[in-house]
Amino acid sequence: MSEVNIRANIESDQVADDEIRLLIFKIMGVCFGADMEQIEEMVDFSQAQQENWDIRNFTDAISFRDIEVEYKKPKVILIKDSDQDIGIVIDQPENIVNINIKSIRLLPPLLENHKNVDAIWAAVFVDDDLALLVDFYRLQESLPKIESQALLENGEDSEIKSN
Amino acid sequence: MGEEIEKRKSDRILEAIKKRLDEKQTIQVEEKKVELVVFTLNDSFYAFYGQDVKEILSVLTIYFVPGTPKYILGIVNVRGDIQSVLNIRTFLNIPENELTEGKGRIVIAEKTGVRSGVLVDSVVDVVEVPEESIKQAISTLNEDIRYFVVGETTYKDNNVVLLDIGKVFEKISEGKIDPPVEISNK
Repeated sequence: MSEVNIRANIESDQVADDEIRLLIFKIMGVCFGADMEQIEEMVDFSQAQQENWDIRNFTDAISFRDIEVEYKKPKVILIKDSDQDIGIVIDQPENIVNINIKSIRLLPPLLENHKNVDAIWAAVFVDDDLALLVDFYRLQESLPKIESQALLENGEDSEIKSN
Repeated sequence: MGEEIEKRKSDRILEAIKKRLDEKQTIQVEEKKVELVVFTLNDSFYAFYGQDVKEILSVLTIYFVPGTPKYILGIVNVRGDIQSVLNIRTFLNIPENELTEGKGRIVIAEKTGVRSGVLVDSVVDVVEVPEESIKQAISTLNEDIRYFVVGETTYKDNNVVLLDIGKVFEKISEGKIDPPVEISNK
């Protein structure tokens, strides 16, 4: 999905009262959905740097255990209504979908008890895949600030790794 | 006289019948049976109480959930509901088995209000065994592992370790999980 479409969707208000508009993206094959209402805009990593945003890594807050996470086409999400310009690095989004809130499923109680998944608040089936719903506001609270230079120590914009 | 003897004989027969019936009832009381769901992990036999098992599923797609501990393999879609899937090997210090993935079974268990799937290699049988056949677990078991073990019994000459899934749920819910020994991955 192009960035232009993302912008168009952010500005769109075509969401019914019983719906939530989700930005669908994958990181290392794991599908996530984020509420478009929490997103101000999305840009390339280099542009986010130029904007001097407070850039933070999605996977620093949500552990992928010992998997070395690679962002194939990193993008930076600017969180709406944040006190500071906080940008969260995610991988290239795949889709934007409207989901009826009735189709949202609670996480099993055993998962709910783990503090590490506070930002993941529910799940929903999207096109035969299960998307974990992420609350960016909760996520940003648990994200450490990262130095942009550290992310780009190899001089590459296209492949960011994280443990 | 003959009639009296005959009565005595009938009394004796009735008494014998009643005694047999009483003995049978006594045996039935003594042989209280429990249902067990017998499964395997790395060719060893384990079991849960049948009353704690709600259903047994072929392995579905298990969706990994980042941010969760290793003993949670992920979540599965069970007819539109989402259930967690536990890796019980973590609690029993059993090495990972590559065969489990895609070929095993998910046992959906529920106890003390907690419900979750447990991934096993195979479900062998659902059997009723006399309660008294369940013996105390061998004392050489690691104490941390023994916490989850109710006892041991046999199934077709195989030793079966009976596990209390409620104890596993309890540990997780309390957040007191501390796997006994570091498990080495194959």
